[in-house]
Amino acid sequence: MNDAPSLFDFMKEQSGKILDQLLQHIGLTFISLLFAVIIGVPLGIFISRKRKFSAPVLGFTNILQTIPSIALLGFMIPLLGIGPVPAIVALFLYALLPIVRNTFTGITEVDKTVVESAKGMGMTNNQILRKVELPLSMSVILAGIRTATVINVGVATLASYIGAGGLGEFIFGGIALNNTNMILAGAIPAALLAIFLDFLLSRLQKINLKKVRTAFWLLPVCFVLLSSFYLLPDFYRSKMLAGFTPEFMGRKDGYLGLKKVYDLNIRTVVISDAVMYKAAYEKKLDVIDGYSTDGRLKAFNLVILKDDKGIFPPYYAAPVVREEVLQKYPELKNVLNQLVGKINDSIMTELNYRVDYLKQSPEKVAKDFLMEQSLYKDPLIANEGTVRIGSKILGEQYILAAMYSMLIKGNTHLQVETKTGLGGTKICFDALTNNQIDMYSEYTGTGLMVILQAPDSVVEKLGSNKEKVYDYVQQQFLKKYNLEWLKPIGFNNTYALMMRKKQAEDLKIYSISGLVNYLNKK
Amino acid sequence: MISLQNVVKIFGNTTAVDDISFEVKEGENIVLLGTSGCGKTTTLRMINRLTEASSGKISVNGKNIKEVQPEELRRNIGYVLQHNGLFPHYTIAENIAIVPQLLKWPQQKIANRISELLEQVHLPQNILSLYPQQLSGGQQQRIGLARALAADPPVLLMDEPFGALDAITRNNITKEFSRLEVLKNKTIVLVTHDIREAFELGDRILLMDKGKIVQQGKPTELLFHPKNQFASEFFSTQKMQLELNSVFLKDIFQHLVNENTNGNNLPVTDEFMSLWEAIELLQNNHQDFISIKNTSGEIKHAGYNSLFTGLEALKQQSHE
Repeated sequence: MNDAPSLFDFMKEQSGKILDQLLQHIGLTFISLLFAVIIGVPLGIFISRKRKFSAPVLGFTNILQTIPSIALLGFMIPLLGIGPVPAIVALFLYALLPIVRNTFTGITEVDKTVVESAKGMGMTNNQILRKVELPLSMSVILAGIRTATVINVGVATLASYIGAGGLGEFIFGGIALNNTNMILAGAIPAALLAIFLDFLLSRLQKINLKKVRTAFWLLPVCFVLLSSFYLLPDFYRSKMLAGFTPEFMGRKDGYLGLKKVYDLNIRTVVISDAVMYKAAYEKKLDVIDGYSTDGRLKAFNLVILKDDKGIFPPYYAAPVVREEVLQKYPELKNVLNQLVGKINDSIMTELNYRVDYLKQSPEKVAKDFLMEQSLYKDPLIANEGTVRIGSKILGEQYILAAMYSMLIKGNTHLQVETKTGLGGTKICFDALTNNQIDMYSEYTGTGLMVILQAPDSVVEKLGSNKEKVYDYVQQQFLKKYNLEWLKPIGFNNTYALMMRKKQAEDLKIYSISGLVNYLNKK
Repeated sequence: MISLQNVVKIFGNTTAVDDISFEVKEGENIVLLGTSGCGKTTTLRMINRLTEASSGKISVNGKNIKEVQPEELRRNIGYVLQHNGLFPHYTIAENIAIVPQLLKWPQQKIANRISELLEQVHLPQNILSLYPQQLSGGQQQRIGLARALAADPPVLLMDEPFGALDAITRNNITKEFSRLEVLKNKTIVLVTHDIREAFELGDRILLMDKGKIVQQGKPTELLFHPKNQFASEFFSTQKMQLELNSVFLKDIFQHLVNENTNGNNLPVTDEFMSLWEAIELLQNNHQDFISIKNTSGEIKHAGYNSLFTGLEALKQQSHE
């Protein structure tokens, strides 16, 4: 974050992207609003006619409104997958309540004598609705549409979680990368959009009663027009669609690097890690980013594209232990090194698959593996002190913590205490330096980029050479924090691009360069 | 023109209208009079099917209303409501044009009809492009009447048409309505709880209580020959004023004692003035006597004393 560009510079630089996202945002808001009006207004009219339905209908839409937006989007995924459709459905459900309620209230609050006189003059029910009730309740109905619009502009930011785009891409990318400018570049246009639309609709509401009849027809036309914004970007689609996490999108060793080093040119959507793998499996996405040992790789039958130009730094896992603990219990080092060379990428993926996907407990997976490798021994009597093992919230880390715990208990007389689920890197590392835990497993790349925050020049010099990166972090950790990196276990949990196995084989794409060649081929 | 035979209306457990029968002749103005909840409004609304009768037969212009489409029926019956019910989002012109529009009259015919009606209800043409809320209550009520008359329906139903106006406006407009030329040939059923209004506008009054007609007849008949306790009590509070209003000089001319006066500059009137107006005339001119000339040319001079003596004599006579 040194030499951070100003917000203005950032927005200027990204203006094209901001505009795209803004148009997508407007599109998402208005398509859903259009459907909400088409369904909501007639529904409101219906329940104003058949009062006994009003309580259940309003109650139901009320409940929809109370579902947290992120949860509602979550419910949509199994039903509708990812992308604009589930986002629009979720936004539609949110917009429904204010529109139904205001239509109902507006119509039921039209002066009874006016309706009575209309009836007394021989107007049919349909004529009364069109000529009396709708025009007279129009400002209340518009107020409902106005509320729904503002709600939708807000909720639409979350649409980026499921790959529907919009200004949320910047907001959540910014949060993931701790980049304030990026957050603001998404948040400010979103806020301005909400204020602007609110103002516009408030003007519409105050328009002379007389012109309301025109406005009533003008409104859907505007909606359709604004909705079309969303569809425009789809005209220049590339052969494949990539889904990347907000974090990956903004990282130098992520999408930015892919563009710079490989000259990758692919249509992308931003999507959350939680749904990405499944979306690739269901052919909603063709290329995703992910972790090379992720169990879902196996679960969803994906393959990793070889990083042939080496832009992803190595993330080899190794135990990081407090130096004084190693001195106090010298036997520990050899015990911990027993895992070295036993787990490669595919084995780790397999183990993760059992935990993440087959829902086996990390302890069982760890024990089974150690038994297979003939490393498992029954615990000895523990009477020589305690070693505290930490782990991040990550299936893989739970498995490693369980293995180390079993190895220590089986080979030494030390007691083991595990403190699993210590959030992210920062929490684990702080726990270690503050003598809350004695060891945890860390990745060389994370040590380099996140903990040491190595300057660009160093990162470039080390490149993707795993020995050099390991040596650098090993030396620096010992010097700066008095922490010892033991030997790497052998697997590399780095960023990777993945595709469906079948598609990759059909297209003969095995590396990122291969992907780029395929995309550039006309 | 309108006939109701054994009409009953039951809402849930309450009988709002209990076996009512009456006829309204063409051009006749009848008033349904009674306290609130007596069933008078329900009776009125059954005539244009805003409320459907539970049983009994209603016919308008010789046709059973059950056999006519409700919308069709209502377009041919003028309807005036208490709170005028003008469309707030329509201009005055558009409001008046509603029924002709529904009947798909040509535009030119509608425009002509609107300006004709405005003249008839004594309103200036320049209000046509205004909205109802820009007019006074009395003006709105007149527009309400003009709207009801727009398609020239032979029958007019009026539900407390002046109920929302203040007392003074109501008094003036009631008088004005009773003299409007356009209403002369209409068959009108009017609902009111206001006794004076009923006396002013009704050729015949139907006094209602608890869903039944207690008594019907000409205003003076109800006043001087109340059929029962309810009828006599109903009129008691305003009896004096009603009497003065409903008795005309011609009715008591024969009982008047010609008084000797020496003045020659007495106010002169014909015999078609009500007693009430005669007393007003006396007061306004600060005179003790007025000079009354009947149609056959006979002249009598009368003061307060002789006017009241004449009224008493008339009442005596009608009781005998």
